[in-house]
Amino acid sequence: MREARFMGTVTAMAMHDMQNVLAIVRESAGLMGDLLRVNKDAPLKHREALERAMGHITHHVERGKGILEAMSRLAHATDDNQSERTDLATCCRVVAQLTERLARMKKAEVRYAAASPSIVVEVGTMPVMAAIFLGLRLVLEQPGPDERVLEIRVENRAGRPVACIHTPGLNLSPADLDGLTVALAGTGAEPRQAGETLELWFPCTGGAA
Amino acid sequence: MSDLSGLKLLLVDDEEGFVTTLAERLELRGLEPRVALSGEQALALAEAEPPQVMVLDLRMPGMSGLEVLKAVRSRWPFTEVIMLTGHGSEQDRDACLALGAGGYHKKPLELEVLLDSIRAAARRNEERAGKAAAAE
Repeated sequence: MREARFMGTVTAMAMHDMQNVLAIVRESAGLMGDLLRVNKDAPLKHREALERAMGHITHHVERGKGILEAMSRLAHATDDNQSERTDLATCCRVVAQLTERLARMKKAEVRYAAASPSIVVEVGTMPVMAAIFLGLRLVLEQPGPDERVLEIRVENRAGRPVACIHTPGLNLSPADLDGLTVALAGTGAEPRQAGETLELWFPCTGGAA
Repeated sequence: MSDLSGLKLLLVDDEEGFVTTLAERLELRGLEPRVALSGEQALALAEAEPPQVMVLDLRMPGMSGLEVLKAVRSRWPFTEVIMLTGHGSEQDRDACLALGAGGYHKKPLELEVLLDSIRAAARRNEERAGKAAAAE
């Protein structure tokens, strides 16, 4: 745990500094855009290409900001562990953001259902995030059509918090579920399949965060 | 104060590339901000001419943003302080707001969002100064 805290602290510091880097990139692109607008009547070759490039910079700065915020949450998970109380919806959102690249490699997209309720799980943040990631990775590894969408949402089923990963056509084998059960040891999560949804059932009562 | 020209604005950040570029963008919009690259420099500039609005980084070498915020609140009570940081946690935000910061933003952010925040801070500064003048 000491090593995890060290990793978390150092990663969080680096992530925070990256936000400063993004801020400089963004302001510099913004200044170039301002200058183009101020001189909009002056002849300038490739004006449209420059404006397009600045649009890309702004878009990807926003994208980077989202990734950094999710990374920062992950890095701080080692701090949060001490409380053993975790907001399941926040963990789902963070993991969905951080697996964007993995999903793209599998020609899929992970969407977090923004309307998910806030539900407290009485398990540390790190094991909860690990459980969601392992479940998500298993679903992504299943064969499926290109451009498929995986939706993650959170439900409260009679006091038990459940993270649901849904994708059309999902059909896990008993061996897949057994393997996931082993991988989830220590996270407190129990995997079940219900229709085309992989459910991760967490212990204890759910409640508003 | 919807027109910000003439506003005494001080930008404080140790990231020189960020703060000077931000200042140039604000100048293109008619503002004339002063720039400080440390908390100590910010207080020296404020001593010479107290700003109406200060945009203040949280984590800096030497004096931290929180220390600067405390000093500003005690010495120049009309000065409105907007925190702008790449390092902020929820605890940091709560601490800044409890100490009287009028706004708290994370970098990077849209310039228009910052401008709205500066406009709101300028209005509060005018109201406070106006009330104080009326009470005298």
